[in-house]
Amino acid sequence: MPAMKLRICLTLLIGFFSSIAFAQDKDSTKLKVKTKPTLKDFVPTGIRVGTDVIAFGKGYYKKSFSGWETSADIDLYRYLLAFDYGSWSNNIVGKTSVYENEGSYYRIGIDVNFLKKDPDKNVFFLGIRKGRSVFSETLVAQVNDKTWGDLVQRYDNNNVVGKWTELTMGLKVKMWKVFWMGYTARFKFRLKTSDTPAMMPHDVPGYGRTDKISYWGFNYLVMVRLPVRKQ
Amino acid sequence: MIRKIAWFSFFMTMSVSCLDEPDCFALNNNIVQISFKNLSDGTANAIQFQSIDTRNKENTTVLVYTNQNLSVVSLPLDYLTNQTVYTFRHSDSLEDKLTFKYLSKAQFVSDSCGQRFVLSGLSIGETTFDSVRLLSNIPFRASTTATTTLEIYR
Repeated sequence: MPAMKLRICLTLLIGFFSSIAFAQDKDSTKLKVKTKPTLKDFVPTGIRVGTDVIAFGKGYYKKSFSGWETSADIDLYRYLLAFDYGSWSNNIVGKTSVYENEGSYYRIGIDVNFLKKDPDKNVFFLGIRKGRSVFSETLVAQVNDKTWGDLVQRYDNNNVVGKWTELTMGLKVKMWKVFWMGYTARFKFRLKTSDTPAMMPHDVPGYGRTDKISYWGFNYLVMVRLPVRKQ
Repeated sequence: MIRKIAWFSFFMTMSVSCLDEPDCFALNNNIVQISFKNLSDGTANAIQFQSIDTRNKENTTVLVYTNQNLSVVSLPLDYLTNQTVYTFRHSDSLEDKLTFKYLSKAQFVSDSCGQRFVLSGLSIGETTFDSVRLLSNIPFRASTTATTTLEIYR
């Protein structure tokens, strides 16, 4: 069933990508003169840096979570080289257990901009990311089992490395002068973690819960774009 | 056109991005199923058992079956340790022992469910049975469909 869900999600993304191409073909009635990009087109025109508002909001409303994330991108013609860096921690107190984790992560990848002719440099993109996280976690478990007896045990995982892949989609819009806002939707999958002898990881910073074969994520960004050169 | 597609994709993504919480029933995968078979032809071999039992870490007897004629049994493994020894007492006062060895790892599930224990790397240690065949090295959860983990030929 999880493999079927992954195929459905990838099919939807591919179908969406294809629909954009067909839409552009149907809308074009004028004769287009295609010009090949030159090396000068690949010189960056600006660097955009920002922060994720949802991480702050999540920490405010969900007392067990704390985190932040920054992102940056630089344009190379219609491609955007993207980099995210963040940190998050959880402190969850349950009825029979206490779970804590803390770690940092980064993602690096490339996006394709489908609004390459927009004069304001607005961006609608599809992209891919590789993510990596290093984190530590602790579980204090209390077991009361009528068959096997009682147990109170502490488990620790230190410096666990997690890696995953993401497909991304989003929008970045110029609001006023150098200030931008946008969102990024993420489909995360292919999570792998380093070996942990006593306890299986529960939550990987930057990815999410490990009990799912794939995971959806969403960021809402406020950004500043610093021009490098005039186009 | 592009903007319409962008907004559509935004709402589509939001609609499928909801999280689902796990259920809390029978989280540990600590069940094994044993099928008893005839050594000559591999058909099911029903055996009259006086009892099938083990001991927990407090040395208390855990009785799973009593006075039953069975060709298939489902046995729970102790997820608080890495080994469970079962004693099979037959109607003719004979008894057999079977040792299961495995790796048990804890994992946090949620604040409402607490933790679970994930068993893997199942193997057979000491046994007095003549012929034992391990079909799967991962036990299953009580809430899932049972599958034969081990075949014992007599």
